Amino acid sequence: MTDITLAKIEALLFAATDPLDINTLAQILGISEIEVDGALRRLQEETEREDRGIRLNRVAGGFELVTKPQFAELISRLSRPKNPPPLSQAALETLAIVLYQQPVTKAEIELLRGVRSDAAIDTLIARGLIEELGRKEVPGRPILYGTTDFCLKYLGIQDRDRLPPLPDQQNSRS
Amino acid sequence: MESSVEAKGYPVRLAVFEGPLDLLLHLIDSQQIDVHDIPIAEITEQFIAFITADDELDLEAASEFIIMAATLMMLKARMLLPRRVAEEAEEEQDLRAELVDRLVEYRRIKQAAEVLRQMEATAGRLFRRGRFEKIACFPDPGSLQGVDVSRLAGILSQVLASVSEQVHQVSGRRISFRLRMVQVLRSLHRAAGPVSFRALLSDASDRIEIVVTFLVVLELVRQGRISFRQDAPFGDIMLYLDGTVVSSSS
Repeated sequence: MTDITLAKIEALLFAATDPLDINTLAQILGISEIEVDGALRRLQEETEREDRGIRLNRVAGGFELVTKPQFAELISRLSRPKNPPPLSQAALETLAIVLYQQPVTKAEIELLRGVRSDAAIDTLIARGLIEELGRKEVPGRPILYGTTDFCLKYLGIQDRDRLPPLPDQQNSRS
Repeated sequence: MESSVEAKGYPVRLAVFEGPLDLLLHLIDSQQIDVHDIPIAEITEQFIAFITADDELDLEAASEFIIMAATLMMLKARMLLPRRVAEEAEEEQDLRAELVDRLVEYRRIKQAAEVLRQMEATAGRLFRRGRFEKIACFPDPGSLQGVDVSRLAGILSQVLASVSEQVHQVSGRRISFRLRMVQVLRSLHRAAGPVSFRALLSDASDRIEIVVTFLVVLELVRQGRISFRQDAPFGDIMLYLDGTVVSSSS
């Protein structure tokens, strides 16, 4: 495999607005996924070098090019990044429940938190982090919520199946 | 009890807690109590002390705390009363176990939320292209395919032609605040007695002049140069020079 594959992948990732997965890259390039994987690994290695400002980021089941975290302050000198304000504690707790227990209803969220969570749910929906997945087939047919792909990107989660591990229960019940 | 004093001694607002479970966890963790071995009687008292210490608690939030307080008190009461049948003891165990389960589960959620907070911060330091420019969401520009500049120019001229050329010149009448103030003070001096606000407006020709006059009166009152009195709601507002009359409470 020549380095032109690597260059092509770099070009595609640069031009794409959303993360590209291996399958898509393989189809566009007309090569096998294994070859794409190999090229991605080399691209990753290369971008880790200190003289590169961009690195390969694995997120939401795909790959994308992002600036390195140590340049965040530098970039904010260029222009004010449109980072939304960080999520509130209520929103984070609600998001954690949705992320780990989806699909989940509002009532289930509220039982776990012990407080009403309408505002937190509204915030998460407005920010595109959770969405309605459908209705639970129980009386009242409550809405079921789940996380969006954007949520994975927002939190930098590599894959839906690879959620960050939770700290174990400290003391299991006797 | 030591900890109920703590609740009174420190002005802790319940608003800093996400809810009754959060408060309970705080009480338990701050005293390094094992969640499976909660001294119900003590915790109940501390919990209630916290709720009652906060006098700004809004009703909506309060109800959730009060439900928890009721649950705790029920547990406490059950423990104090002699159990007649094994069933009652079992029920108490169930209630207790349910509460412990909820606390354990909530603690995990808090920990997960903390993990997410860190991830949010880390991910927020990575920038992808376009992070700066996509401020508004525009409709998909795909429908503009095949449209060139001359076509756009043609459409623009059509649109412009359909828009009537009428131009309205709107000139705002300028009223000097300072001038008006002088006028108001002058009429008060001339009258040598109270003047009603209504009388001041007798020469006002439009709404803006009335507004300015009112602002002038407010300013003069603020400066303590005049005072006012209104005896009845919607009645005449009488203005006095030099603050000779204590303004009536409005």
